[in-house]
Amino acid sequence: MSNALSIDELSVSYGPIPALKNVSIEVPNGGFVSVLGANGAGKTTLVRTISGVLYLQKGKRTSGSIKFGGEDISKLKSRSIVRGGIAHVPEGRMLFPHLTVDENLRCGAASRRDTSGISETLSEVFDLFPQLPPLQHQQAGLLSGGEQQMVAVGRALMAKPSLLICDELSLGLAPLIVRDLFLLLDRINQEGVAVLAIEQNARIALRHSKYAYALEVGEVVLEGPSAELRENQEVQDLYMGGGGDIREAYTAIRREVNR
Amino acid sequence: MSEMTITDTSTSGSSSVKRVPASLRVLPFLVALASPLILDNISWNPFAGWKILVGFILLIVVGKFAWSTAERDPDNPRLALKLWHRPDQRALTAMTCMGLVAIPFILGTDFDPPMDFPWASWFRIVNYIVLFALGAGAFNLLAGYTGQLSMAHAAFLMIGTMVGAHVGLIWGQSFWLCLPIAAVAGAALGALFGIPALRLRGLYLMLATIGVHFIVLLGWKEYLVHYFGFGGVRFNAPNLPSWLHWVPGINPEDGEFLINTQFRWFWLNLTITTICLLFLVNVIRSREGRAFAAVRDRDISATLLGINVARSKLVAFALSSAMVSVSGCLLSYYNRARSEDSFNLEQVLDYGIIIVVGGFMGIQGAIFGSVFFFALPMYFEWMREELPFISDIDFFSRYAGEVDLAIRGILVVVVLVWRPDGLAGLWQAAKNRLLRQFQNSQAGAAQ
Repeated sequence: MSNALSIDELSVSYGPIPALKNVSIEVPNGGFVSVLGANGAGKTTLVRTISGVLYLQKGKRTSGSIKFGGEDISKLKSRSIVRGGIAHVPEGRMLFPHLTVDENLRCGAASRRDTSGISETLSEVFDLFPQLPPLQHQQAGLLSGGEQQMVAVGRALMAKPSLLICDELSLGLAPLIVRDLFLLLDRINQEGVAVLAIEQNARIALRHSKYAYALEVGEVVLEGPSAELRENQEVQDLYMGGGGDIREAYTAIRREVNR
Repeated sequence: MSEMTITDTSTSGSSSVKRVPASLRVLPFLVALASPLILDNISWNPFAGWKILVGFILLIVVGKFAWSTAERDPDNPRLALKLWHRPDQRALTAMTCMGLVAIPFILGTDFDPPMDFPWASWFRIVNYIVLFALGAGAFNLLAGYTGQLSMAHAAFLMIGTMVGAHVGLIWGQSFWLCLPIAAVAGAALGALFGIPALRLRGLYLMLATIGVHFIVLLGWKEYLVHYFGFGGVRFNAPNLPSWLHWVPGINPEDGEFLINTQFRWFWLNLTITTICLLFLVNVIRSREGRAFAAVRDRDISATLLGINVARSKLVAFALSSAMVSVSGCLLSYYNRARSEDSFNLEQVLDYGIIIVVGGFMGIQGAIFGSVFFFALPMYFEWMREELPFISDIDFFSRYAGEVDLAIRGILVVVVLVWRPDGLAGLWQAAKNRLLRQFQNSQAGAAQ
C-alpha cells in the first residue's frame, strides 16, 4: 500500500479508435504528480477512466487495472469511487451555473452523510479560498473564470478526498491566477492530499509537481522526477516552447512572412 | 395588542447577537392564523369596511411583530439554514399567513356599493389557484428544478382521480384514505415512467412522456367504461373525520361535516397544498434538492461528485408525480365530476405556462404563476362586462374565450421578454430593492 493510485497497463478505446495504450501511472500517498501532453494525447480519457465516467462518452477499458489504496476500482461506479476518496475537478470547471457558490460547494459533499462534518469542511474550504466567502450567495455562473475554478477545486475538496484529480486547471485562465491556483494545490498537497494534475501548461506543472509523465497519442513517452524533466531538452522542445531556439525560429517565421 | 410592548428596542447595531425565546418567535404567526377569530369577535363594528380597516391595521402590526422577533446571531451557522429566519422573511410570511386565512372571509362578506366587486364568484378561482399551485409546484420540481421535461403529468392527475374513484367509490372507503393511496400510487408509477428519463434527455424525453400520456389515457377510458359507464364519475363530498370536530369554526350537523361549499374546500385545499409545498421547499433546500439541480445543470459533473444521477432522476419523478396525483385526487373531488375527456395534454401545457410565467426556480413561481393563470381571465371577464367603454365593444363579448386566450398569450410573451425569471424573479427584485432602500434610510437615520 505504498501507492495511493496505481494504474497498470491501461488501454482504453472509443469504439474502434484506441485512446490509451498500455499506460502505467503511479501516484504515491500524498504525492504530487502531473501528466503532460498536447491536445488529443489522452489526458482527459485517462482521468475519466479513473473516475469511472468513461461510459458517458461511450468509451471502454480494454485491458489493464486501476488500483486505489490496493483495491481495484476499475469496475466500480463513480459514486463509490468518490466515496472511496478520489475527487475530480473536471475540465472546463463544469460548475452548476444556476446554483449559488455555497450550494455548489455543498453539492461537492453529496457523497457524505455527516452534516456537522460537512459544515466543518465548508469552513475549511472558505479558509483556503478567502475570496469565496463574500461571493457565497452569488450565482456560480456569474463569477470570473478564476473564481469559478476556485469553486470547482473547493467543490472537489468538499468530498474530503485523499486524491485530488485536476483536469486542465489552467484552461482559459490568466497566468497569474494559474500560479495562485497551483500554489493552493501545493498547500492542499502539504495537508496530505495526493494530487494528480493533468496539464497542457508544462512549465507550471513541472515547477509544482514532484513527478511527471508525458502522454503522446495515448502512450507514456517520458516519465521522471519533475526537476529532471524540466532540464530535459526534449521536454523543453516539445512542451515549453523550444527553449533557446526561439529567437531563431522567430526570425525564420519573419523571413517566411516577408517573402 | 399587549404583545406590542415586548418588541425589542435595540433595532440599531446590526452585528449584535439577539436571542428570542421560541414562544415569542411563534407568537406572531399564531396571531396571524387566529386573526379571523380576533376580527370576528369585534362585534361593535357597524359596517364591513370598518372590519377591513381593523384587519389592515392588524396585518401591519403582525408584520412588524414578526419582524422585530427575528433572531440574529452571525456566528451561528444553524440559524442561517433555517427557513424564514431574517426579519423581512418573517414579516412577509406572517403577513402572507394572515392574508391567506383572511381570503375566505373577505370573499364571503357583503360589501357596500363602492366595493361591491363580485367577490363570491372569485371563490372558485381561489380554490383552483390553490390546487393548481400544488400541481404546478410539483411539476416545477421535475421540469424546472431537475430539468426533466415530462409531459405525462396529466396522466398522474388521472391516476390520482382513478385512485379516488376506486378507493372512495367502488371500495367505499373514506376520502382521507384516498389521498395517501393516491400519493403512493403516483410515486410508484412516477418512478416507473421515469425510467425512460435515465436514457433520454430534453426533447426526446418529452416525446417519450407524451407516449406515456396517451398509453395511460387509454387505460383511463377503459377503466371509466368498465366501472362507471360513459357518463363519467360523480364524486360525493368528503366528510371531515370526527376527531377534527373540535377545531374552531366547525359545527357538525348530525355528527357529519361535509366539505361541500367553496368556503370549506378552501381550508382543505389550503392545508394540503401548504403541507405539500413546504415539503417541496425543504426537499429543494436539502442534499437531495441540490442533487436535482446538479443533475439539471451538468449531469457529468454531478456524477463526478458522487451523485447517483439515475436515483436522483427517479426520486424527482416519484416525488413530483406523487404530489400531482394527490392534487388530481383533490381536484376530482372538488370538481365533483370527471369524464372521459377530463385529462388532456392541454393540462400539462397549463402547468407549463404556470411555471414559465411564474418562474422556473423554486416553488414561489408556481404560486405566482397560478395566480396569474386563473385570476387574469376572471379579471378580463369583469372588465368586459362592467367597464363602461369596454362592455360596449361587441367584439369582445362575442369572442370572449378567444380574446382571453390572446391577451393571456401576449402577457406571457411580455413577461418572458421582460423578465425571463418570471413573476417570482420580478417579486424578488422588487423586494430586494425595497429592502435596500429601507436599510439605506435606516443607515442614514443612524448617522
